[in-house]
Amino acid sequence: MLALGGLGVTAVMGFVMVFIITAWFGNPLPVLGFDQSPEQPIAFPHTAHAGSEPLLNTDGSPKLDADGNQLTGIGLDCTFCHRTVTSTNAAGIPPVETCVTCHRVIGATDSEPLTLLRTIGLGEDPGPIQWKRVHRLPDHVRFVHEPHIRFLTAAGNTDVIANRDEAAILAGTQMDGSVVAAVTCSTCHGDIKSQEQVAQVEPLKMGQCVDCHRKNNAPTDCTTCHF
Amino acid sequence: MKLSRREFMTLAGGSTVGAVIFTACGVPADELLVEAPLDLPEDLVTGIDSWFATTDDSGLGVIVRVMEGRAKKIAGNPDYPINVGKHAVHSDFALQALYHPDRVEGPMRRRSAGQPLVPISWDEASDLLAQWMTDADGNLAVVTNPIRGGDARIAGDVASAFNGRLMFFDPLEQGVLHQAVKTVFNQNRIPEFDIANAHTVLSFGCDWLGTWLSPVRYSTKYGDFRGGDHRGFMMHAESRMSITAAAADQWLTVKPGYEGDLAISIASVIVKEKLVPDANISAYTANIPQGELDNWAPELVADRIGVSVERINDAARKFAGEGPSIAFGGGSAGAQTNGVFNLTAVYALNILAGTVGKAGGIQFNPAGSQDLPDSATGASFEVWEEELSQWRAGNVKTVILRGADLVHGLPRSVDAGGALDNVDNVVAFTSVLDESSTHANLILPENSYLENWGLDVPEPAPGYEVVGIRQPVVNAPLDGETKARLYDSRNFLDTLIQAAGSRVPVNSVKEFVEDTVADIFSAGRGSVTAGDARLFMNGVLQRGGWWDVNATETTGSPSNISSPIAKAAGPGLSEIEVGVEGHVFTLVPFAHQSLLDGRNASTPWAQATPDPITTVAWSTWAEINFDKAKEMGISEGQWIKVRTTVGEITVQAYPHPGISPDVIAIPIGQGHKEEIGGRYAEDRGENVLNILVDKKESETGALAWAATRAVVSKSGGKKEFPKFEGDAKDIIRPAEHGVPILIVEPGQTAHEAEEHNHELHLRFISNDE
Amino acid sequence: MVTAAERVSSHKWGMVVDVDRCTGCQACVMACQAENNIPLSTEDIYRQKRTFAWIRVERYWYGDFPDVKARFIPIMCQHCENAPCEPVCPVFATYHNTEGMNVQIYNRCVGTRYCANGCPYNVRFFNYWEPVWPVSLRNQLNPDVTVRSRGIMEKCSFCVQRIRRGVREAARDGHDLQDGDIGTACTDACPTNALVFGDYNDENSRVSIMAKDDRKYTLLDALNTDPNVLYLAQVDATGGAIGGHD
Repeated sequence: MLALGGLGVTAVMGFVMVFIITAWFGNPLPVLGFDQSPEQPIAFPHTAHAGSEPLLNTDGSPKLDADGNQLTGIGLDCTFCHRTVTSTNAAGIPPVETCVTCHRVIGATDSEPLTLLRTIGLGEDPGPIQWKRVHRLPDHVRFVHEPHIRFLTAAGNTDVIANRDEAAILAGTQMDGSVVAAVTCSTCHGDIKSQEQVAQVEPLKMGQCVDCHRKNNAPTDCTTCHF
Repeated sequence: MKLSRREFMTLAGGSTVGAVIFTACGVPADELLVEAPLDLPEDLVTGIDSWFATTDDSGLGVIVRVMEGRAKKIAGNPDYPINVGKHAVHSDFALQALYHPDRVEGPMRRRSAGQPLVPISWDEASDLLAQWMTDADGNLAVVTNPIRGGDARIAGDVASAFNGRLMFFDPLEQGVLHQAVKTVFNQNRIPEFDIANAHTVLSFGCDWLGTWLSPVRYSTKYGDFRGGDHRGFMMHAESRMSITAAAADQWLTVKPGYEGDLAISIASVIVKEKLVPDANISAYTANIPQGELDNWAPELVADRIGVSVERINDAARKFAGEGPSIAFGGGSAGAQTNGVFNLTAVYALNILAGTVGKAGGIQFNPAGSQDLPDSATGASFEVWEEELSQWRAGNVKTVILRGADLVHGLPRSVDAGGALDNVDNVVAFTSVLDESSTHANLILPENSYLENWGLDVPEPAPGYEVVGIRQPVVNAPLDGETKARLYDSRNFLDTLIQAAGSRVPVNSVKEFVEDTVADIFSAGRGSVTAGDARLFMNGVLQRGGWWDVNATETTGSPSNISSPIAKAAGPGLSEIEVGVEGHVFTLVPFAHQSLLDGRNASTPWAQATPDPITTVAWSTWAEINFDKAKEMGISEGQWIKVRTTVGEITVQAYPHPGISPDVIAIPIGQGHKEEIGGRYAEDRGENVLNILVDKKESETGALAWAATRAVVSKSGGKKEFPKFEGDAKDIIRPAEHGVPILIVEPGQTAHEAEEHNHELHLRFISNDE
Repeated sequence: MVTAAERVSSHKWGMVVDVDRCTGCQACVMACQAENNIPLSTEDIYRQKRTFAWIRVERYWYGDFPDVKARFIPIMCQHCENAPCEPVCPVFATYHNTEGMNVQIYNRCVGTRYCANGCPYNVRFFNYWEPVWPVSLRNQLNPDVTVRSRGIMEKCSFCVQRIRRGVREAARDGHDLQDGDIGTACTDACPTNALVFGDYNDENSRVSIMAKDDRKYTLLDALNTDPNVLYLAQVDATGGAIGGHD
């Protein structure tokens, strides 16, 4: 009994240790809400918007429209909604206005999330949506999207893009060798377009930032990000 | 309650754990959210900082940095001719006024005297206001701070639509200055002082680098005056070391009320020694009887006015020496019973210098654009006495107050509070409750200027036509949780227009601004060129205003002037009580560097900004001569009683060497009672304005606010000041000469001065041994 | 594209203070408070002598009445090349970067306060308390600047957030930085242009020109701290008649 108790304590302690170590060096174990993938007020699927694969239901069966045709993602460019990513600090969460521009007419009338969206955007008392933040940096870090996108899209720098989707990169390469902004997002955000519910996949710890900055001859002065 | 293990796991689990843990670490829950707003105007985009141009309520052109819909920083508008990109210490205070935690949240009504204020709706409030204005047809008074341009036009229109009057209140009014400018130059507007191009500046009584008229404008010019190829020479006459006196090369410690005598004495030396061309002398002396000026020979006046013979002679020679020279004055020099004499004597010096209308001298301002009111000053004290007696007699039915704290700003002798209590309906537009609003029946929350439309004609103008545009640059602040408007305030003028209804020709301030700009467009001149009126309006809004550098005043300088000595009189200082223990001083109140006349007192930044001379913050102090204080046994922080025939205040003494021994100087702006002025101003310091004796300037009837005499005596105990001085310790005590301020003589290099200082230091050390 | 300027700095930022132009008006002090989220200096904080002022205006008296002068000098972090505050920091929270700035990294600071003791200019300020703002006043806080918490040392940063934004936006829009494009809050405010900010590596910048002025001196020269903030001496046109130097 005692041994069993001791074993239990060891197991719990061990688990806590593992949790702390993983959290320290990367993403914490996905338990107790630390799964880095909060449930959003509206179940917004990036698969349907950014992806271009056939859509599946939760049980794995193909998702069909009213006429029984297979639905596929529409493959929007990331910057279609995250408009300020190439010009300023934040990528920008699209206003509800942008959503309902299409969803006023597009999408099933009986879909629960779309009904909710239309109520929020077109209802009698339209209001904002409070999304749960997925990628959050501490207050003492000043991250700006714009120079990162500027660097990654430049000709000759495309090798740096991580979590690559080679086909997309090939398709997004311009005449001068530069690439479109949308293919660079995966470097830090992973393969968002295949995620039904967005999760943070990269740890986004300072070590990761500094490694990348060193490798690419970017400034590593502390006041680059901390001021 | 005993939790079962399963319940505990349920509570601890779920996606909220992360949030709970982050919150425990001090991360607010709303930072874990990211909002998708309904629509996205440019000023709400995260990370983009938009700068919007507008005009602040002191007449400066400002640009406001707006991020995510909130105002973050105010800076000078680089395009605006008044302040060319620079701003004052008080510019950023508007941000704290906008987000002040004690802003009045909504309209409030007091049913009868002594009752508490109860919140009412805006509908009810506007109906009441309209009712009261209609009821008071023929005996309505609208009282505001001095406003100009479109704001003054609209307020005037509303007042006259009800056969009422628009009155301006300013505790330190400029009526005497206007009168002097009128007398000497026959001008209605305050002229432009071309300090930047002047070589010699002689100023009297006004703290023009700190608080007087347009200090930012004058400071930008002062920078050019000091810099450039040729450093100018500056003299300043004032009884107290203001920052202007500190900036001067020569400080003339004139006794209060004798500025005019000093100016004439300087003139007498110039005339006698023929230091300027004959034409200038004959213009100056045209109406002065032969030999009269000799009565102001330095030897005869030096003792009386407190400036030595050598200093007067030296000032005269400097002023008449390298030009262009300019002389101007105001402030405490005008706030005497002989104020108009003092200032006419000062401004007449420009005739001697021969620089009127020329570069480096006095330049006249043209009338305001579109016939808008281009000049405003507070009504004189005499007018207020008469007005308040009407109120007290019950002859005025409705009084509308805005930005005019009569109870705080007028001497106790006129009992403004009692007069307000005899008015049936007192409406106070305010953002933070002030002294006068405690006597109001209806409190209406007023917008910050950052939320308003408006149209300003700045005074003093830069020598040509300028129109400043005020536009709303922020949305009303929202409550973090309910997302409702934090303060349900409105534009004071729009509320008046709405209450006046069809009686006034305008529908809104915005419409008035647009119409005026359209009129300006049709004139087809000035700083903005555009193809159509809409683009023109955009251009004006982007630049924060419109101006035409070619629209100058062409009136030449007067060929001769009326005798500057005709009105000569000594100052008539107030009586003092017989039999009161203590030393007699002349009490000189002065505008606080950051609180000004008290209008900024509610913001914590204004309170926390150290006074430049004393470094005191958050309190009221009395400046007193160091040696005199020693003689009286007063040291720093000592509580002293300052007693005049109408009252007494107890303040702390700050002795320093930069003030005449017979003068005590006290800043205005503090002294709000409990629950007045917001949490940062309430129950703090003393209000010196209330103990001023009702001496009046003899010609204009203005309050001679620097003509009160007071008896000063020690009171119990002393207390350390909340002050900045001594906070940073080591460097305060210079280790040797030139630390930290190195002083060089003209032409000397820093290196030479350092060597010289070091030698002195070595000599000092060796003497020590 | 990332420019060379962003990878390896070609800038050496600095400030020149013309003491002769300073009137002591406090506009710089206030502009700095508003820009940099500096905690409110309440009356209590004043009485504790723990006032925050990344830039302050000191006043000195020279002489006696009536031949007396009050003189002002603005003092902020001198961004010394040989900074006494740097070697004493056990955690490298303060160090000298390649752009001539002495920087303070809040998230590294553990609050030993050694640096403040080492600084001969008294320009470092320690957060003895968590800074508090009433909820509504937080609307004003600058999102580009970290709000420092309790136990952190802070000081003038040369408005590094403005430098970063200025350099970044110039690179984004593809134009070269001109002298005057980047100003700190205090230099932008200063009505007499007593404070000038710029790049010493640009030999045509205003600061480079002013640095060659005959009146140039540095504070506490004898300590050989080699500051990047230079001062131009005050001119006494009355020829030493009033006490300042004999």
